[in-house]
Amino acid sequence: MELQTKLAVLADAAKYDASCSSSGSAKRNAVGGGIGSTEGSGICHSYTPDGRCISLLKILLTNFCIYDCKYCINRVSSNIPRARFSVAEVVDLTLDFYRRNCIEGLFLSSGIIRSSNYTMEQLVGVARTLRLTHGFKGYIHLKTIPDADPELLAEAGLYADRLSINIELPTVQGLAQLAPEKSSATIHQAMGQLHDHIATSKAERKEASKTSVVSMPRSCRTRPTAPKAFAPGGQSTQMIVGADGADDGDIIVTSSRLYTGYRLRRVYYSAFSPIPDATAELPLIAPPLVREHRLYQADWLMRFYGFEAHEIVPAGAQGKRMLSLEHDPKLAWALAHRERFPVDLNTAPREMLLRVPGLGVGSVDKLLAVRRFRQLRSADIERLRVPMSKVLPFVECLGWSPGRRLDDPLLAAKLVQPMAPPVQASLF
Amino acid sequence: MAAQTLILPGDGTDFAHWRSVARWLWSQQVPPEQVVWHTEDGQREAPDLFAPPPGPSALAAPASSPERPLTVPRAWLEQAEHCLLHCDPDRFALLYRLLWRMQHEPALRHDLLDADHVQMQHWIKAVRREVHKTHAFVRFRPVALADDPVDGAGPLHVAWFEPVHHIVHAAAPFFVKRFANMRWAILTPRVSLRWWPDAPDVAALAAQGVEPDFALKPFKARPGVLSWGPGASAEDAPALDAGEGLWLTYYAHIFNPARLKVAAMCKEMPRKYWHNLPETQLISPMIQAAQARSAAMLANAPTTPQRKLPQRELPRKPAVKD
Ligand code: SF4
Repeated sequence: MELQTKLAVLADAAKYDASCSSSGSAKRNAVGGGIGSTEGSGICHSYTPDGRCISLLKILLTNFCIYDCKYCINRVSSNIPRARFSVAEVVDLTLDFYRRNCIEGLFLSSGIIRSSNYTMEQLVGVARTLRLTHGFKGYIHLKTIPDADPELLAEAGLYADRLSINIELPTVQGLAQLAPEKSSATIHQAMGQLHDHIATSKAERKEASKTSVVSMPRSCRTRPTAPKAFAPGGQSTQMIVGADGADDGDIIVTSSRLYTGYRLRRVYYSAFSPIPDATAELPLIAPPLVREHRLYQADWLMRFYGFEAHEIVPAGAQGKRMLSLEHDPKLAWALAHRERFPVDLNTAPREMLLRVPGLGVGSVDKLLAVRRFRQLRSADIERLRVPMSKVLPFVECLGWSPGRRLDDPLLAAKLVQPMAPPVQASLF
Repeated sequence: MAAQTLILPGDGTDFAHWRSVARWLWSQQVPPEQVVWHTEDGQREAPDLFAPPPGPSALAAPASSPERPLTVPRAWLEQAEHCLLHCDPDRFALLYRLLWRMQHEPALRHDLLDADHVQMQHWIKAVRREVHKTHAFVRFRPVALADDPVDGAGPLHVAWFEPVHHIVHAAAPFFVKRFANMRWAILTPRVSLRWWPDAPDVAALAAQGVEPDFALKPFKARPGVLSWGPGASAEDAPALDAGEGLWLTYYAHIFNPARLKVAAMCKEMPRKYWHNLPETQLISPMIQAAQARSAAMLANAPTTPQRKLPQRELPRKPAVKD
């Protein structure tokens, strides 16, 4: 099969994976030899009309798979065309795209062929060749196979910046129903192993950087060589949204557990997308893309805004706890806790400023810096360039008070964003 | 004090020069509203008839002047240097005005929400963003050069890029670090630069009219040289090749037609960069076909599996507590 055709098939197979980022790794460059660099924060080299960035060459090594996960286009029972790259082909493609400055590196995943170990061997082989044979310093993200040999997992961590294991579905029942060959316990176990590796490597490196060896009085202090970093970009996972009956509450609680339990860097949410040749067991209608968007916003609140999962989970019976599609989760929280507002910009603590709808971390930091020297006035809110209609009802400062706006029963309706939220292309 | 008309050399982005001029203006107590700023390049494109001809005397800052203390935070100087890279002709005036005001209103330096500061931050952000977009959107194409020595460094990788602001110098170190062992060149309308991974004969380079600018600090270990030359045109860059065809294939296939979000794409990949990104020619056909493709997915589903499902024992499920 021609390389071009393989690339088409194996990129097609990879496009349902939501993870994309190439950020959060150690900084490296090619000044000492080899090729490539990582900057710490990733670079998106292009964007596709689905609004997603291209930062990595995201492909599958093969889309043959012996498993039969219902939500997956690569499952054994689907009738799609199949292809398989050789290790050398993936390495060459990565290097060529990289030299053209089209990508930050590689995100490699694979269907399971022959056995988990065999498949994992191949994935690790690609990363090993890139790093050791070509001195590649760019970003490598490997999707690991949960039940592969822990030694392979350990080797993968030496070459990859980030490792991920997909949790797939928010609940154990969902997984049992839609991915019969996968086991929630194995997935969690593998995540735990990764977490231990990452934590140990971090601790060892920290220790190594602290101790210095003094060989002779007044000689230069030398540092012992730091042990190699293990997946310096941490681990991430992906959860499919809308393929089973889990509600947003289930998803948020699961994510929060993953963040605290395994120190995951990111949980990606992938709105279940109608796939070509879907099984009859799946809903044909995709969940609205805005649901995925709201989950990312909720996730953001937990990671950067000091919100706890239980504050974001909407009220309701299990199975019905859905985030508002009209309001973002922070605004929804504020509307439900009006007694905590208005927040005085001149006196409120940082934690409370962060809870004001429309104020981001950057804006809050600016407000805090300025108010150390002078009083904040209403003109200052404008200069923050934040969405005014969202912010104004919830804050007060010199020359501005929201008056009785917070008591307005129509406030929630007035704050529905007029701009159409991102929607799934109409399918009917 | 009479109004001052100043012409800064070149594109005006030489920060040391701007700083000495500003210092002189301050020592003469010329208030900001009485200074008219021009650049040599700007004068060439749209001359101001009332400006003095850009001779050496007008370009250089008058040297001897009574020293008058002028204090600004160190961080502000770094920011001002970035701000100068913006293309807005009013940037020189804004910076001098801020400098002036900071001497008279000591609290101003902390006031991130002052209107002038906000404007300055806005410009700096635009400059930073373009540096970032340059890192992202510069696209190299390999060309085999007949006159290049065969030294195993491979072909010359050439890119054509058209930045709006004066950011080429600021964006260059990124490429040096990333592609240290590769020979490459970035051509832009105002300036072109080239990286020589193994130090070429610098004297010979100078004879060819390129100004070699030894890459400084972070690359001390490297023998390479970064050189600057005059601007170029799009025709000087190589055309699309087969390897880029693979890239277009990848781009077309990583797109999920069931998730059109065109506005999100345009926000991050502004149209002004599109004409130099080969994949953008695919965008409009991809959008047009998206609807039909997602409809087809639904129409075709579900199908009966044709492959024989392997008979396997399901892995035993350990009891899970969750
Ligand atoms: S194991 Fe992975 S590739 Fe195979 S069917 Fe399941 S999700 Fe798809």
